[in-house]
Amino acid sequence: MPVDIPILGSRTAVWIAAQLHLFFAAFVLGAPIFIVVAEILGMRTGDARYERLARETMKVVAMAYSVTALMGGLFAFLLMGPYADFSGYIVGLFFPLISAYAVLIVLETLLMYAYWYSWDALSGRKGLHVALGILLNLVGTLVMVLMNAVAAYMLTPPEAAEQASLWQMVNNPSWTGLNLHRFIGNLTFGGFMVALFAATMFLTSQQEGERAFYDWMGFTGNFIGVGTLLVLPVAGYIYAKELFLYDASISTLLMADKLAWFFELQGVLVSLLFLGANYYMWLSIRRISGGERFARPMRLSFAGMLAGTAIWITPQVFLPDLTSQPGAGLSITELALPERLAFLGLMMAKALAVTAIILLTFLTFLFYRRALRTGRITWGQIDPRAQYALIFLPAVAVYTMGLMGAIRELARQDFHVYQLVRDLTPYWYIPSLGYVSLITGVVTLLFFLLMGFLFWLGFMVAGAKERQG
Amino acid sequence: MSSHTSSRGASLPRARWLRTVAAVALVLLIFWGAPALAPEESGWHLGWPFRLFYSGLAIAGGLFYLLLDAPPARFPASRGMAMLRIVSVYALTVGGLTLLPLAFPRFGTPTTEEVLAQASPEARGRTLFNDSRVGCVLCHAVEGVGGTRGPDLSGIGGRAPQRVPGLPAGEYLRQSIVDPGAYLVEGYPAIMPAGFDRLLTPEQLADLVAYLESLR
Repeated sequence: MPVDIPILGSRTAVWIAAQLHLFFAAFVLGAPIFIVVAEILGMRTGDARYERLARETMKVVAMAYSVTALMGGLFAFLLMGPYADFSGYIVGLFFPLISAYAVLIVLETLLMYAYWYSWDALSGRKGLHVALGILLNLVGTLVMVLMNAVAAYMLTPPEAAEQASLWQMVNNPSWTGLNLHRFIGNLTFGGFMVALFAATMFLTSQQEGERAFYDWMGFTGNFIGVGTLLVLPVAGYIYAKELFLYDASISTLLMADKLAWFFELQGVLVSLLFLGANYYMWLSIRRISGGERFARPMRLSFAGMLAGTAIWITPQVFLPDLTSQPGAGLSITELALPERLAFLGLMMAKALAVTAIILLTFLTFLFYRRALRTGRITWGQIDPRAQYALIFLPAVAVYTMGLMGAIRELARQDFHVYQLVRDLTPYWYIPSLGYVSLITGVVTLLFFLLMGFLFWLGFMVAGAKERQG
Repeated sequence: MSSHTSSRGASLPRARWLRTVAAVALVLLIFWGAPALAPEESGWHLGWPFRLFYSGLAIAGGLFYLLLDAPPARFPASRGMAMLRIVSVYALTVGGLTLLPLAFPRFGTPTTEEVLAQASPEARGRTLFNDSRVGCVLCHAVEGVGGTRGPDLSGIGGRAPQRVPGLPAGEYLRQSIVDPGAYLVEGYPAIMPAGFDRLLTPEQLADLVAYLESLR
């Protein structure tokens, strides 16, 4: 007997729990990858800042880990009520995989705590500690790809799914694309979260030395976030191509029909990420002696990025879906791009615009590198607006991730498993962009509150006690 | 050289500010002046929604350039002030992003009822069928989902025309809902309650019948 969850409704309740779980999971999976890299860099270069960055980020990961599990539990609990039949069906279908997932989660937890709590004990045997970190990442990645298999199966089950083997169900048509996109996306997400943490610590620090470190840490977090963001659209394209090859009607739904305006918003969001990251670089380069000489080419580069953004988000038509008709007093000629500018609404123009934005961002990095070679940087001496940019970026990144998750789920339309298992609940329909935006905004704020609470506990309260001690 | 110790009082270079405003004004002039020069048949004529859209982008771009040249911000005076600013930047960003799609009137949040009003009768009927307040799904299963106390209704749309000779499928289904005892299915007791014609409006009843007829 189906049950409903009052006020929110079953779908929205499950959506909020799942998205919160995924936000934390993205962080605890993405951050350890560059934590280990930072630890290795610290070993190789002798720069103590890398070691500190790795350690402080790992402290946040260790705290966030339990919340990840908590949200995962809440997600599973909510599924058991209104979606009991479907949950049973999926568990039955993927039972060996879900069993392996459970074992690996335990192993990952043990490795995570071993890696974190052995930091001091293995300070003399760094190689062993790094090996633990690498193992943690391998298991973490395996956990991610196992669960991605289920999510990907729901959208692209293999042909003749009833007779498919477990491996055919796992290696379904969009599994690779989803793995690639999530792996890189987690790194971007982790980088921006580190930047958020660093900016918070920078703005609340009272000592110059601390500010110098957190300034550098914020720069590094942004570097990781933007560096991986440069390749994320390519991974997204591969994923979208897989969906197109599987069923071209999904692409129509995404790009021209009911979800087209969701992608409009996505274009705005990713453009904001690029512009925000470049704005941070703009403020950052100005505190390097001689950095002012790059102001003019950077201003031109920004003009190129804004033009690229304008092309990227130009809609073909101002109608919400393929079946909508112009409202009273409106004509299709007013709402659609004119004939000679129609190319602005095509994928080719969008792809070129995104490529231009990516290349111009890369150019900014080159300017920065050149400025560093010839000038001197004073860490800790930066316009606080740069730190606000580092807070703005994770807010946009978290929201973008939430929106993209919703798009992926809604692409199944009124199916739990596309074309195989129908969603027979009252929540089978694609909600409006406004509603999706509202829920995404709420979840983004909830995530910030939970992360803020962890920061506060781990660094403000515990940090104050350590200083007193 | 910018630094957090720089004075907030340092004003934005006037020449740059004027240049940015002039550039935005020029873009707006082109978008709103050019249509007069480009008639619809030319293939270049942008409709007003596009002009509005690009004007918004031009203004946003201008604001971005003004931000580039804005004087450095002041470092927060206290830890509390810093936290307030951090929370404000995050909350305002998320709030702005949330409101952005709501700003389009056609993309506002419709209620479930509004969504259903635009759906097909079959889709509305399916929602009613699965709504636990109506209760059909509690006793009847469709495609493996639902209760087992009543007959399985998978494919009922195909079977209904043969159930009572001379009675159209839609009428048979409607009667079976409003008068459950009229046509019993062998092997199932008469436990279905009456009163669905009072619980549902005539339109809802028609939607429910349309959904059941669509099950083939």
